[in-house]
Amino acid sequence: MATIRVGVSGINAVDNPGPGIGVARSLKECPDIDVEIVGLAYDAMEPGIYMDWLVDKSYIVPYPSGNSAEYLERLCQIRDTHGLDHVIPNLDAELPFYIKYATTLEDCGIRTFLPSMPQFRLRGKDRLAGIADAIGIELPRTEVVTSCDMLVHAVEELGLPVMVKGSFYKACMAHTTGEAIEHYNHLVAEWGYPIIVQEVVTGDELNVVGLGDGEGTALGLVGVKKVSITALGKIWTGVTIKHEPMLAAAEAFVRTFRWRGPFELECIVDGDHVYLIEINPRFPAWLYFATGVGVNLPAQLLRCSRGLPVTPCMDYDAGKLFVRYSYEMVTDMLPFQAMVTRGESLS
Amino acid sequence: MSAISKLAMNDEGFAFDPMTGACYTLNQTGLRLLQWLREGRRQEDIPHLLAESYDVSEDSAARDATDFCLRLKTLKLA
Repeated sequence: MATIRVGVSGINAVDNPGPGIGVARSLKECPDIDVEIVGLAYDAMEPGIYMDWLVDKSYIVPYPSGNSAEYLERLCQIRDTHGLDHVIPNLDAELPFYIKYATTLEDCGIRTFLPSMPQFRLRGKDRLAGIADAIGIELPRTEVVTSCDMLVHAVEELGLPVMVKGSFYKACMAHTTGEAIEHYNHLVAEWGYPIIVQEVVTGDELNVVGLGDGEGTALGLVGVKKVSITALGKIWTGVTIKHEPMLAAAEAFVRTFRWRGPFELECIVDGDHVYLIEINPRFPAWLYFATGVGVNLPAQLLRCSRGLPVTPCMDYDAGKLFVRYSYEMVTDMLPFQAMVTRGESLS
Repeated sequence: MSAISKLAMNDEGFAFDPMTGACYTLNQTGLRLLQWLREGRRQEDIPHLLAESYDVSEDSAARDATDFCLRLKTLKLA
């Protein structure tokens, strides 16, 4: 089989890591697919650029939230000069671009495997109630607000403490109405409207990573519990679990909404109550955990996207441990210089 | 299947709940007690079994067994 050149973003393996390195490592470990990883970086200091055992060639790309034409042009330039058959975008800010231009990219010979724009919008934090209802789990009592008066009213309705969330990023707990207003103003300034106000539910934080084929079948699901997290809330150690109601909900999500592409379901589980907290329309940074227990989702994605035979892979053991660690490498200035001056790595 | 029967346990007193990811450590008495419950022994039989196996009165064993079972309930394992 010919080598598939796969563009992978989110190769910023820092303290708040992107999923790119996990995606690259998973693809490299797949024995039946020959891939070359093309790192798509936004900064010359993204560690993935220097991890040449996983990322074969790297390019600096412009921010997709800026000029779309410029971003598109850069991808086509990479395709023309090096080769780029597929892109797996791993950062939230990139997804609207890749979804919007999926057909254009495909016409240029660059495939993606992503949800449609209506599917992408469906899992916005302000629309989760419909999803939770459809897949048979609960949503913490939630109010969507667009003014300070609405916020105060929502806090009165829900009772303190509450979670105040931006519609795309960030969630802060407020113990007083004053604190809620402070978070509200901060989140509006940073991420805009609407703001989500939610009751605080307690329990175990359990997550599922999965992949839908767009026809209603889950091509793989793995459930995990975050055992310890960093100050930024990112997983540092975790364990695989088989929480049947949560896995069934993830399967129902793929089936009901015919989800296409990767996703991460974030839940809080308290006994029989499974609360939906968030659905991320991409792989999480801990994705390699699934690969490590035998469910290689990036490989499944590539098979499905390229029309190769693919069968759902749901078999993994509960009780497998994930331990992240930090590591250092030493390299020359040359690769850095090349990234800064040429916008691409040497190799 | 009850929650305690789903626990993965070893002989050294480590137990793992594959559904929630919770881990527990038990001393030898707790381990024995959990094994009895997993074998289907009734909670009311436990004090007698404890008194038989360890040098304690049935009253004292009954208090310990009740405490242990309450703890299981708090942990949503019983």
